[in-house]
Amino acid sequence: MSIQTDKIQELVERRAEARLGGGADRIEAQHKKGKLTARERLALLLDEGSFEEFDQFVQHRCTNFGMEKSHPDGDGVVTGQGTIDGRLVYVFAQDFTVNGGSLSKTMSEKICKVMDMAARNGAPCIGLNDSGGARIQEGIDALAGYGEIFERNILSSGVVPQISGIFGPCAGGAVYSPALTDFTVMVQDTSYMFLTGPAVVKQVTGEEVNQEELGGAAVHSSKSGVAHFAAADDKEGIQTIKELLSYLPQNNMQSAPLCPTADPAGRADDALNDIIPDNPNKAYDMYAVIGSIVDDGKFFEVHKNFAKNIIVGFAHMNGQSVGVVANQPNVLAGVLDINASRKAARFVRFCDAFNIPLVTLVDVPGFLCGTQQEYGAIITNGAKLLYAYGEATVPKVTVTLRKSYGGAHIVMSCKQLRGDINYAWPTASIAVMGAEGAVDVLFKNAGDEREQKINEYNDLFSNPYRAAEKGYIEDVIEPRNTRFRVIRALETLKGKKQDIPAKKHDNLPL
Amino acid sequence: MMNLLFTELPGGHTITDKGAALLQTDPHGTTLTLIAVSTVFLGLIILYCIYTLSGNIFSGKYKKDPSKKKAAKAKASAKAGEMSPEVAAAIAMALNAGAGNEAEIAALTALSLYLGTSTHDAESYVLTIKDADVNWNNKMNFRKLPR
Repeated sequence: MSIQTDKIQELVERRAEARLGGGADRIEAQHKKGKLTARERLALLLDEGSFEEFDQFVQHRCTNFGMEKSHPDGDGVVTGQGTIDGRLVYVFAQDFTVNGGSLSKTMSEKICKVMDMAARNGAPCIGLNDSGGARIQEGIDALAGYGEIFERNILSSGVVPQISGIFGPCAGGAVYSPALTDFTVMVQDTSYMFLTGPAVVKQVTGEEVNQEELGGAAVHSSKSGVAHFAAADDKEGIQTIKELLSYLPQNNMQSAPLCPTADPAGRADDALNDIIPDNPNKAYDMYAVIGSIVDDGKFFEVHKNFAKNIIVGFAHMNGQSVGVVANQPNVLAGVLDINASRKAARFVRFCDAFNIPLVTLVDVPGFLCGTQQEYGAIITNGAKLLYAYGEATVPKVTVTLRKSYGGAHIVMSCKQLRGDINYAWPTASIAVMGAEGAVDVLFKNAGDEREQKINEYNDLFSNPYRAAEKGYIEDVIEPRNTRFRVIRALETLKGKKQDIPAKKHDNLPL
Repeated sequence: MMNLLFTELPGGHTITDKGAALLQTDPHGTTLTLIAVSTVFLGLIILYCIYTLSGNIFSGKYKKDPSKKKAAKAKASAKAGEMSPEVAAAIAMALNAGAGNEAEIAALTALSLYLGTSTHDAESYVLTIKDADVNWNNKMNFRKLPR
């Protein structure tokens, strides 16, 4: 055997060893927990044969607490580049089988390298987290590593899409990297995110809580809103990431890929003409409206279980990727509250950053009132959504279906917030408030005349024509034609150019 | 003498009756010209109609609007005195419930269905805009940052 062959043999062997990570036993243990290994996840995520690994032979440099005795190749993270549906992505996947996936300085260097490449080459960066946290043996070096990752998360924000998959524990400072990225996918029962674990919580506050209740996928996808998606298992989580990417552009200079459809742009849906109940206090399902107007009825919802009174998500309209924001009359009558405002504001800002047009479907009776909301800063949080719509320069098409009252009318992409095309259904009521509330304010002692005054108010304001007369909406459209009119509006807005004044950065009400 | 308008036939007979009458009533051939030209144009008009009609049939222009068809069907059934189960149920509900908003709505819906009076806003359903590859909104240097 020649020297060269020997050397090639050595390469093959080292690579095989590196691919084993923490070894067969630990891989087996990972599988027993219902989890996949880092490499198995990447194999599912990327196009077959597309993955090219970087820094496979990197080893940690720590010599404290016996760390010098073991130097596994790769140091607990698999990094590299590959393609998803033929589109370039940069990835890193923490390997729990190697030192519990704990973050060392060298691991952070590997992660930072692919993050830099993603930002430099204009491709999305996907991180699959499964880590016990900072590698305590390294001390401050591990914290420095986190800091470097966070800084890159911040600098890449709004430049390339950043997606985090939480496929295991993610505790302490580590949680801030996913929090800084655009979307977070969590897996039920196997992934947790919290700053301090149940033991510390009990020590500090006396509160007894388990991992799932403290920071499981169900909690973060429904109560805190930290996670945008909750998947049943690793496979579903990875599929969610792939589907999400299909709606996004590669970077902030490009448009999202077109998705050809056989669904005609001129498809009218008679069912929409009957969807609004005659009684204004009766609810209906906004999902039915969304499903009716988007291509093939396919809607990819974001934050499905969080703040259900507002719906946000991606869809295609005539093949073009759009962000849909819609009030949900079925939940809290579609009212805007703190969580709904936060949820929608974040989504609107993402769409604006990545050139995804916004389609807004409005049926909002106002902001939720009460001390809980006021003490929780509904003013500041409501302002976030107002700000997000007001600063957005992507095409904005708005359809008012029924109620659009007061401050909530302004917030929901009204004409004065640089809405491009604003339509209303004949059933729309665009006013300062509902008829009964207005009469109670204007005619406190109306007595028997209350009904008559309510009817007068309804005749005067409970229609879209007062707004149409003043040019605050472009047109009143028949509901069945909504798909066609929105698509046509989006087509005409493809060349939209709008700027904002030069500034260092804005001062979004946080 | 041989005349162009009179043809001698065997046996000494000549065509004189109709020809002579035409010569007398239309000495300059104006009527004959008008008849000939009209015949040609009539033929052309008939051909135009045939081609237009067949063109429209093949291009689907005369395809019936489903909503119109539905309305026509409803009208036809109304004329025939037929009533769908839904219509009957709605009217019955309205009558049983007596006066009230929901009853009125049910009765109006039933009447609308019964009479087939659904109307729709005019819409073209045709996208005429073509993709124009222009640099008008090129994202390069889109946001002006302060120096």
